[in-house]
Amino acid sequence: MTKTIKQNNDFLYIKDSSLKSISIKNIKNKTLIIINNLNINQESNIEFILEKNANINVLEVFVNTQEIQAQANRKMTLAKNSKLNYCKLQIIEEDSTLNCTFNSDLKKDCELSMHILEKGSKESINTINNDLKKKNIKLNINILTKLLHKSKVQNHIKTVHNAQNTYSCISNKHILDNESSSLFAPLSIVNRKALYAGAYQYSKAILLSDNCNVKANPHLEILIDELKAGHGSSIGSIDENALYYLQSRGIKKEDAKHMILQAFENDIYDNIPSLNIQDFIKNFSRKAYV
Amino acid sequence: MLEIKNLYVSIEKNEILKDFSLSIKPGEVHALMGTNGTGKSTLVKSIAGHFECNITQGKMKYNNKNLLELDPNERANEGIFLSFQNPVEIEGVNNSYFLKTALNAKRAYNKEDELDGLEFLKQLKTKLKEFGLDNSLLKRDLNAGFSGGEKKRNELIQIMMLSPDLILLDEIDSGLDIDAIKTVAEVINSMLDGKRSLLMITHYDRLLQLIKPDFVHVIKDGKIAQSGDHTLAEELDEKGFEGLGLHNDKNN
Repeated sequence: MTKTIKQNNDFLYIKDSSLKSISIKNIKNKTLIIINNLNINQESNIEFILEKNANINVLEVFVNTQEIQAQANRKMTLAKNSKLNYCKLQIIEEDSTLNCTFNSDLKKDCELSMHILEKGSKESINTINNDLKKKNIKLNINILTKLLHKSKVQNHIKTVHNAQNTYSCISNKHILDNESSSLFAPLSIVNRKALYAGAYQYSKAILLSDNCNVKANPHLEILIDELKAGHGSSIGSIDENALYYLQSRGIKKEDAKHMILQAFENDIYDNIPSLNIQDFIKNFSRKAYV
Repeated sequence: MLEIKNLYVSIEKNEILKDFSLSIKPGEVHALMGTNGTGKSTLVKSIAGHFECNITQGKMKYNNKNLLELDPNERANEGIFLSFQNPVEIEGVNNSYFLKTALNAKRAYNKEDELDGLEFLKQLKTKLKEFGLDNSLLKRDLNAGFSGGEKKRNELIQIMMLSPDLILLDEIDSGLDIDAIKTVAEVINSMLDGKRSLLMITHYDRLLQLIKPDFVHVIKDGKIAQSGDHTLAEELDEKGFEGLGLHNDKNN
């Protein structure tokens, strides 16, 4: 089944895997919200097709009501000068696994912005592949990994720069508690054709327990001199001085801790380009959809 | 109000305060002076319950409550405010939201109703207007990217809004220009109502000319070596610590 999105159609609730393709035409500054309530062993495939000059904000929510072993495959096909702000919010509970694969076909001057928000998932792997083979493509990927218990999340992101003036910035923020673990494995390759490219990778982690762990492996392969590139990684616990400062103004330690973690998270939410999506996420209640 | 007796404080196994005693009564203004490393900041941090300060001996009572049994937030809500020498920058925490949270934490502690956003803004605007301070700092993240002067101004706004009973100023005048020091003095003097007390650390006589202390203490080697009235500060300004034999032995 292929669905064409019109101006007044901005909310989809999907409970089966019949939807194969979403086509987005002649739409500007539209917000589309898709709720996926996944079934056991479900495979979900959706292609987002943006025509020339199209501009859309998509929020995809993944929830489950039972134990699942699901696979979601997404393809972003962006025509010349189109812009997709894609946001994935995943709140998977029970003993479940969700693997997501993202591939793209990006044309000249287009812009793909992805926000991947992982909360409470038991086990999840995101594999994101982007080949920047046309000029002036801009790619931003921001991932928030907020885990409890024994949850495990892996993010494998391969970005290949094959054309001039292409830009990529891949960033992962982790908040880990209990025995959770997070892997951030970005690989960005800048080939000889990709003159004046920009390639960046960042990871920041706050560890709230002694038993959680984060592995950040920023990896840049650069074959030219004419580019801008950078990578950075930091891992630590909550800044004790910040915590004390808030306490010294009368705020309880637990509340102060919450404020600092919220600030760390908000940095990701505030960068979501669509205010509609920001609001939806702030007010989102999993219970309403399961 | 504050009674400190025979206090010993260590930071990372280094004993900084040794057998330190001080008493501050309601309405009194005390100034604390001394060369670098004598324990001035350690004293005010100990009063405010800073995690670095390990109190090994002694007593600290505030309004007849044992301060050593209170958490930092409880000390703050009891009315103790420490203005930091270098306030911490916290990105992502909106300054106005933080201040409202702090104010409501104090109100909850005192079993008063929470202030809603509107009432908070009304109170804030009134206070800022009184001293010609603008509200641009409140729109930004807490101290994030603030200049030295902006950070100190932000501490003043907090003092005005939280109305503490015991104000501890740790070198609030450092790095400030003359006009900014005048604003500090104006705000602090306006708060000194005869009940509120002040303990300020400063290296400069200029602040002490604007906020007249009742007592000036000079710390040497972790305890008070000499006390006097404001003329002691004037004498120090003229002769220096060395001239009065109050140079820290460690620095010699």
